[in-house]
Amino acid sequence: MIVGIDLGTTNSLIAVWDSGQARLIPNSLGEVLTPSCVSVDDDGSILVGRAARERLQTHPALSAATFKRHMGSDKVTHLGKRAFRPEELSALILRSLKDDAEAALGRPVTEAIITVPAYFSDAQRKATRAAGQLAGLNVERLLNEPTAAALAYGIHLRDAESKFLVFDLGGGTFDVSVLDLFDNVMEVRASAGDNFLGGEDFVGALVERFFELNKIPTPLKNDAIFMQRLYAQAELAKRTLSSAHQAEVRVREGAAEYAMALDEAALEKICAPLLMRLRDPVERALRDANIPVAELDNIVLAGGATRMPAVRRMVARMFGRFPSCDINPDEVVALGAAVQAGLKMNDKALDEVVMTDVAPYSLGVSTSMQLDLNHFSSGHFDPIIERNTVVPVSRVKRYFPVQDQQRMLQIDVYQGEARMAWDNIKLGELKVNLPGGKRDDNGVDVRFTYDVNGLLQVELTVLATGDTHSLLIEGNPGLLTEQQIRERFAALSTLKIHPRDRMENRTLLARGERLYQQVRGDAREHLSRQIVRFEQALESQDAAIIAPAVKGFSELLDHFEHQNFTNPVPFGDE
Amino acid sequence: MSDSRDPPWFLQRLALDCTADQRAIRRAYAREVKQIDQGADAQGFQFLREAYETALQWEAYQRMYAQQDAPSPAGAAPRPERPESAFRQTAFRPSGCQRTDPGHSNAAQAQDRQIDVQADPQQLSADVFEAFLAGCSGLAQGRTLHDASAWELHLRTCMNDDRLMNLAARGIFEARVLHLLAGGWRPGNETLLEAAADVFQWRSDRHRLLRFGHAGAIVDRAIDERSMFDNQEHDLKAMQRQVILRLRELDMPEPGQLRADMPNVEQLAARFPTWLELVASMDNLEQWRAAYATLPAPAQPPGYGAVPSAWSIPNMAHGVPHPAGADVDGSADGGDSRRARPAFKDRMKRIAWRFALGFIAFNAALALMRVLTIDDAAPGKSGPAAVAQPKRQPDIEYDAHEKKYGALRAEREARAAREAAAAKAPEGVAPETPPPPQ
Repeated sequence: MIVGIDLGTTNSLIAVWDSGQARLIPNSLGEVLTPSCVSVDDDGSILVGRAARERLQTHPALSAATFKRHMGSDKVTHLGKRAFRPEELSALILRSLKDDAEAALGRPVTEAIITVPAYFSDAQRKATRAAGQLAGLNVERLLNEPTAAALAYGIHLRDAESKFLVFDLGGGTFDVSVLDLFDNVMEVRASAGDNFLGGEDFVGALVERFFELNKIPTPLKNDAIFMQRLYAQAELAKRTLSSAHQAEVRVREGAAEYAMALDEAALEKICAPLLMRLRDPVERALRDANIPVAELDNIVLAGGATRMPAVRRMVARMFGRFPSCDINPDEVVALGAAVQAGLKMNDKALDEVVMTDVAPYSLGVSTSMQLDLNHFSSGHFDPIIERNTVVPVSRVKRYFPVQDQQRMLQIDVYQGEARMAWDNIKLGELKVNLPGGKRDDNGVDVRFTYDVNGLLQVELTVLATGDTHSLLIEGNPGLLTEQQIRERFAALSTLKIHPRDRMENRTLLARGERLYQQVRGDAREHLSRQIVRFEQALESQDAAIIAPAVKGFSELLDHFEHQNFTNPVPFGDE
Repeated sequence: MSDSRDPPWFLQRLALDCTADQRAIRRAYAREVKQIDQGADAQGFQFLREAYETALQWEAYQRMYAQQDAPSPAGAAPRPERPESAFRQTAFRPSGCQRTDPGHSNAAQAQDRQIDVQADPQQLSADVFEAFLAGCSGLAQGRTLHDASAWELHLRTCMNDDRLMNLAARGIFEARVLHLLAGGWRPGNETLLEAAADVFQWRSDRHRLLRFGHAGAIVDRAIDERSMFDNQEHDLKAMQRQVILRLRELDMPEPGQLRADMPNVEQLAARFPTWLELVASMDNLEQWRAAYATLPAPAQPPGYGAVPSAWSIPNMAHGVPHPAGADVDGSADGGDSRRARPAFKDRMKRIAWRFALGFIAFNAALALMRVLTIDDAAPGKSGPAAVAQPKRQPDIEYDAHEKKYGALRAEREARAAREAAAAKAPEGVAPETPPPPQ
């Protein structure tokens, strides 16, 4: 059984291909969205999901979120005593999802398809694959997120002919893919994206504006608890505005209280610079696909941030029409991953369906251009695999040294679109020895092989000697070697994970603690007593006592949640 | 087409014959691709893809060929109006740079809340382009002529115009700016090229210009040549800069100056032919060449024979500080007359030979262009040091320029088209690109 996993910046989901359709698997709380948050509990055990997200506000030093943004780098997050790499934090999320799936399916899950932003680089993809390995999953395939969304969307109209664009604005990344669907072939024509543009940035813009408007002293930005609360409030306001006309961000710090009223127009104005950044990838994808806007049959929205009316309006203005809203943007990527799992398992229901994807980046080497006989201009990027080439693909190009009798050739491998190599991302380098002689007899074949997972292999052949060299693009600080992955897998396995069956109660408690921090006055006293009472009920370990306590406590928290904390209604009786 | 011939390999791979149309090719590909496991048989998949892509290109070509025989439908591809006339028209309007259309901007603001998704992209972009041109005439006069940031700001302001929210309109606007640039030099063209290369990401995205066909290929080549220009050593660049500035002036340089400049001009023209056309007056270049040919042969500088190659030692021009120790040929104090004079014929022969050599070398360079970087005597080793915009400004009245060069425009345009076609992408990889989006 292969599962499909959407490992998101804000939320993660897991789905399976089951009796001819994709199905989402809920977590222990019965929810399909598991917040991509990790926290170390007071007893040292690891909490994942909603409980961890609650603890972001109460225990920011012990909790982590949005670490997907650091994938492919060696940024370390300290949670209490232990330091985690982004792969490890992601692995904890994956492991939690895996446990959910095993509980639901009643059998071990060892193989997974994990989605990545189409515009993820080589290093980021390798880090994602490493995260899967660290979670004990064999990553069958890394699937591009907009491609997954397209699969989920296209699978229902597979017999039709259609050209459509997937507009995937997630929590942290933005991807655009243009697809051409014909005769059951789903062909990605082009992908483009921005790895640092997502819903979290819109919240960040609100927070910046909040500081500016209320003239809040900047040092408060270092106050983790205050900032987490502010972020949570801003996030809430952003969501509220998707359905209501008005919202408010209100945060108290000591004696001071700060507030910012928001409406749709204000939100749009604050986010205007971010909204403008949505245009470039869309334009690029359409250009590369060579499909005019007018020929698109539909615009498919994916990613939670596309719920924002401001984003939808921007889409409507760009395309001159309103986008399709008939699929849940939070779930579509995971469902598509499950479709891909079905394809991978050669499921009968998908017998006739084929999907092809593209390389989102150009890959090439740095070369010199000849000006005249003995003058060269160096540092020019020469692509070997052009972006949006259908993968898997293997291409070879021949290069020559610039001088006779040259004994060594250095191949610098780059990824990117700029004309000058130094404006692109360097992936690695390789030096080969040459036998010397005339430069025209001293060619070197450079072969780039790009697989369906978006991973690159480089192979050099010195023509004169027949020597071959492979470039292992490792040793990059953002990447773990196989050996390191094994060591870290062992280390992660020793971590104590909070038991799955007690997750619901733990989450309620974490939520209670978070609300306790937010409310004031009598309500706070009341909540404090209720928390103690709930803890006592849990300690009894008696289902007959715990069940009603959970129900009562949960209702109480809901009540608090919907209160305006600043003017809490006093609780008369208990 | 005769069906008795064997179809080409790509059609054979798809089990098709030469009568196949696009629909048949797609259907055949869909059938074949389902037989291949992309992960397990990557090579087989790649071969099928190559057959499929080639077949689609072949079919598109056949169709285009068939259409060319048939009368083309009127107004099928609305091209941007000729940039020349558009620019001139607005350039002569006295209050050009101040021009705004209050009615329209109010309308645009009113649309802000209530989205108008029906507007015609052609009209939207035409309106913004008119405002853009008006601004350009202002920028091309006086201080802002060389101020890339001012041009960039102007361009960005236009791109952020509400009317250009529509993607199709943005594409057309970009095409208009591109055609304006590719039309050849006019004051401010170089600065606009730099600004546009940034704003439209022509520099950071190699692919972007491909879809603009011929005009796109010209600008694409020019931008590449500009990076090669920047890669040269600083002193050479500074000298070439001065020469380019003089090439823009209305008056023919003094004979001494002309003699000093001409080898540098020819070096520029050999190394950066496309870029030079966009940043300097080609009419002047022709006149310089004609005037230079009639110059009395120059004196041979002392020790001339020892100079290994005239290309490698730049001639320094008036008013430009000499690099210490450089052997200066044709120096400012009118040294020409003091030199012995070699036979005129010999001199011309040598020059002609050098030009031929330079031309051949450059063409060879285009073919060989992508030779790997190693440590060598490449002039660009010092890195892409930013070229400081020269303080000196050619004192040109835009109107005067227009009068002088207006008549020669058409001719130059035709020539630019011919030559840039020759200087197209080195490996001929640029596929036939469709006209700008409609």
